[in-house]
Amino acid sequence: MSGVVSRRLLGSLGAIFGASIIAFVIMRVLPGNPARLILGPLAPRSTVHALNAQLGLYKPIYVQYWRYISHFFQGQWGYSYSEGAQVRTLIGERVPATIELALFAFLITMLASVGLALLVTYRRRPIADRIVRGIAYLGFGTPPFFVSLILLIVFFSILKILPGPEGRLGAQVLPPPAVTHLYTVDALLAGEPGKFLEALEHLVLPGLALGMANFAFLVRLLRANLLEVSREPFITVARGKGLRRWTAFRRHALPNAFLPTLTAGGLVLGEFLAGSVLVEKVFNWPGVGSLVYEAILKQDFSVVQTFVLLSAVMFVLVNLAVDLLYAVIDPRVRVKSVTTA
Amino acid sequence: MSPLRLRSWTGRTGDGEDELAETPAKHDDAAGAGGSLALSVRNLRTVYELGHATVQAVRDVSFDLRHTERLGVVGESGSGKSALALSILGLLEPPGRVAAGEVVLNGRNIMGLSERRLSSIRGREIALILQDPMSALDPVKTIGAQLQQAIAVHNPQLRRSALRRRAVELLGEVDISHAERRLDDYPHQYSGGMRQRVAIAMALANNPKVLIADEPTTALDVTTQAQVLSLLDRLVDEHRAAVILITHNLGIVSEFCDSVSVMYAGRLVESSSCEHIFMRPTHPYSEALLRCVPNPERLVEGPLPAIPGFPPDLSALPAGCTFASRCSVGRELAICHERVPSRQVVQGPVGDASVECHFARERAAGAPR
Amino acid sequence: MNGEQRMNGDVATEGGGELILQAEHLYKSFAAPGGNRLGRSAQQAIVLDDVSLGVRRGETFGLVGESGCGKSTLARCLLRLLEPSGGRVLFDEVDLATLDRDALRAVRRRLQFVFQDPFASLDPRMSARAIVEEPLLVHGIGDRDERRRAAIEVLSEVGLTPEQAQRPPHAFSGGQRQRIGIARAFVLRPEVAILDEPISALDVSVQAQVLNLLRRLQLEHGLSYVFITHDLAVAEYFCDRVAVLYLGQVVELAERETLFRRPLHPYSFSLLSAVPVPALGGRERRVARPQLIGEVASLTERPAGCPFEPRCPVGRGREVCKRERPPLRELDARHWAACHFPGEVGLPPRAATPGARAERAIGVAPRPGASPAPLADTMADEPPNGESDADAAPAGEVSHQGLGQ
Repeated sequence: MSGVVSRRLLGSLGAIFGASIIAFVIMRVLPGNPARLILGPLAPRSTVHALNAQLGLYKPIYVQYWRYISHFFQGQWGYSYSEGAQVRTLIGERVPATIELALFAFLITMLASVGLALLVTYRRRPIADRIVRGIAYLGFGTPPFFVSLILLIVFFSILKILPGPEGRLGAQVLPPPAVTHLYTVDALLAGEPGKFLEALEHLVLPGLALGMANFAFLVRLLRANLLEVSREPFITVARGKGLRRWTAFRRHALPNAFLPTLTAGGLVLGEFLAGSVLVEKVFNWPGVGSLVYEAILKQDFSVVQTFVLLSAVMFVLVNLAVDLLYAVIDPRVRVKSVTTA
Repeated sequence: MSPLRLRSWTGRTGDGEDELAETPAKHDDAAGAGGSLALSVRNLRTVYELGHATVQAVRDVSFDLRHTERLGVVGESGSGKSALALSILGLLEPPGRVAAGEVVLNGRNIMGLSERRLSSIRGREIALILQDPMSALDPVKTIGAQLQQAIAVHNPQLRRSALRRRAVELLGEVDISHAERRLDDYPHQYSGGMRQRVAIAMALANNPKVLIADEPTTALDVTTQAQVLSLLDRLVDEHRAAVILITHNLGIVSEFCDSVSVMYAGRLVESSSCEHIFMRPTHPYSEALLRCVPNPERLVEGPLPAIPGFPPDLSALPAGCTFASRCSVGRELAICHERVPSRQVVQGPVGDASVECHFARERAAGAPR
Repeated sequence: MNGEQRMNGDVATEGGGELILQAEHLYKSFAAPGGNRLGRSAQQAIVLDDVSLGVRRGETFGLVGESGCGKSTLARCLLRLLEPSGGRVLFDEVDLATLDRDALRAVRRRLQFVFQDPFASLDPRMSARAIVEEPLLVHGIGDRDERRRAAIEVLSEVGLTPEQAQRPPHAFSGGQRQRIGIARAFVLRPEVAILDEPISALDVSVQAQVLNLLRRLQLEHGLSYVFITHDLAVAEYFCDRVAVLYLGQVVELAERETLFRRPLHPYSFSLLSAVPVPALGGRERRVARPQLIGEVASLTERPAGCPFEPRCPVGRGREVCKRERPPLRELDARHWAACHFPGEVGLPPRAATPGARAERAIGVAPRPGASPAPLADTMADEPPNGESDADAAPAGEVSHQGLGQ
């Protein structure tokens, strides 16, 4: 068990290190001089030099890297010249919106994929099966921003049943008193069902757009796993003991089919939490993604660099948590027995 | 009569099948005359509908099982023997389904009962043991949980502690030492033989009177097989259960069973006592099956008398006798390729046998060959 | 037991110059995965433990044992598909370890392998002919037409028509697929074929066809076989000499007749008597059979003394068996066994004259009174014999009379 944990931890550290290198190198390789960008085209060369020196850009590359990485973990994420604020403050403001969207998207993705996978595997439903596989196929092949646009056209422009790309709340609605910074939760805490619904309505389309591709991925995986597990002899044995079909399915097929899906679920959640630049942009969602979008356009390095590394850390942490959870749930990982042929 | 019988099979298949369907299923009434039957299967038909083809896994099979009788059902893979087991228990999954027939368990037809009624019978009156001890247990649940589930499902009034006590007892009954401690292990921590013991314990947990064991020892090593077979023998005696043992190994039939049915292409082509089949196998397939495996008791020199060809495709059965093209007797005889042999009860040196062969009478009387 | 008695290593040279394949003191160990929860370093699983044997030209040498006995690992070491951890393999008196890549390739041409699973070992996208042609291509033999002809010829030898040769593996039944596997191994006209459970994945009625085919090919081409099986009845039918393996050691090695009529090692005896026989009297046989205690020990926790001691109907609890690992010795002419008390377990129930076997054939009533006598000491839960005099008990003294004759 401790072996599993330490191996996973080492792997996670390696992944974060790799991501930091990539973020660091990309920002160094891209054309454009940070100081020149900050100071503008009219600034005298000497000033640019001085700022470059101040930014440490003349130091050896490993010193620069070390500065970057140590500052990152100390929470010194630098100053965003384009927004005129500390990167930390900026990201801090935007994170709750991203988290709320990510959790919502994750929730509906999981519910939909589990529900539909169950629907088409518990009994043979050839037509439903074909539809689900069709949706999955489409979702897999369509880029999220395109899904966003389609959803907006259908539900906002044509049907007019859901709000348009106006962010987390309508223009005239004030956010509920901040406790968790998640508007749906805060609205409930404050006892304002109207605001809760308002926040929820705004979550639906970006949530769907974000979840679509991963729903396709998960539903296919779950469907295949369920089909495979439901053919296992232990299901027949469980029914032979006198368990009803559904009971046998629920107690034996579901847990076994879920285990391999858990890792996939972790990947999905990690991906959602890391933020989606394009979906957020399309829906004007005030999350980390749209912040980064703007930062990229303005070549605001400190924001982008921080975002890349932060996403990597987030992604790795979620997956580490899932791996550990896996080790707790699956006895075959938990109790390593020596088996040799 | 079961509502399932309304779905007549006749007319959906080739000519030979029609003839077969019209043949009334005569059965050896002598066996049933004893009065109390544990299980009686009548005209069971099982099909797998695979879109492009319909596989006839079990074709109009009837047999009786007396109380505490041990019947061996012998056949190769694809002969329909596993489909027979699942059909009796009502555990067929689509695309398989029972097209017709009755299964009378302790005097009551259970075919066509609701899943609810059936599940209250399964495990309590009739239980199942499967071949592969690796996959017959849920890998993510403890042995104890799975044993207790088998008990609890028919004894909802029992408390946790009582369930656990009973599970420990059961493990002890199947000779697993340190039962109390090993109850919390997971299947992968058990050896193949121990897993099969657990499967036996689960099957016998509610004292069923009929046990269906589908190749219970096939996946085991030969010495482990011997241990498990002895255990099964002892427990079945103690529980006074009747057994249908499905196997491809006639040696196991010899060691365990009272009577035997040889299955070929979905039919029971020969049913008799164990003595009969080893003394005078009457159907040419039974005889060939006995001869084609190396037998340590009568070692042959030179080539083994192999059965030529391979079993027929159950979705496109030939006309006439399904074994004709491989048969040492009827390969060249027109009658075997044209007419389906009906079931006849013949007199052998040690009692009756019911055989589906045009030459059953001659073969049962004289020395085969 | 005199000083000239031949010991373990000598078994590899038994048969002198006619030997084609020899193993001398082969060892193979694997790092057992995982270790324990305290994260201690990985244990070694010893899969082969000082195995020596020699295969004669033209014979069928059987390797028999239950799962985990090391028979498949041994076969792979013989072919050098696995590198042994110790000892050497001689093919035609040349040490395989001394060969460079090209020379090893040349040897592999003469030494072929047939896999157990005819489903997994054939590429689904190739036609039967292409599969059989491939080894020729790999070894650069012949031109395109010659290779094609050779493949068609071998396929017809195993009973497949040129028309069938064009089909992919999934168009064939299990038995036919194994025929393709055999053709693939035999197209190079090898001198030795290692057959790893070649029939155990096949249907009963098809097994005999494949055995007959193998026998015919052997007679026609003068091949030597190493035949791995867990099925004692098949080994008895098919092999000339048989080695019984237990926990990576050869516990007994003898000519077929000798071994099956008079096994000296209690494990061989148990294994033989555990085979269910499709004949009358099965129930009596089962009741009479001595049952082994427990199951095969783990490879990482092998006993210090005789590996079979914890399960042995003869030696369980005896001091010498617990303490000392018995060496493989030649106890009778060409009959080797590794046991402190060889022959004590008694003879198998059927070991009368060869004539007695025929009497049990189908259609012949059993000789009156021929049913096997019950064996003493069936699965003794308490250790057999008093512990005190166990050491002293001479091998010849029948303290557990096995045969009630």
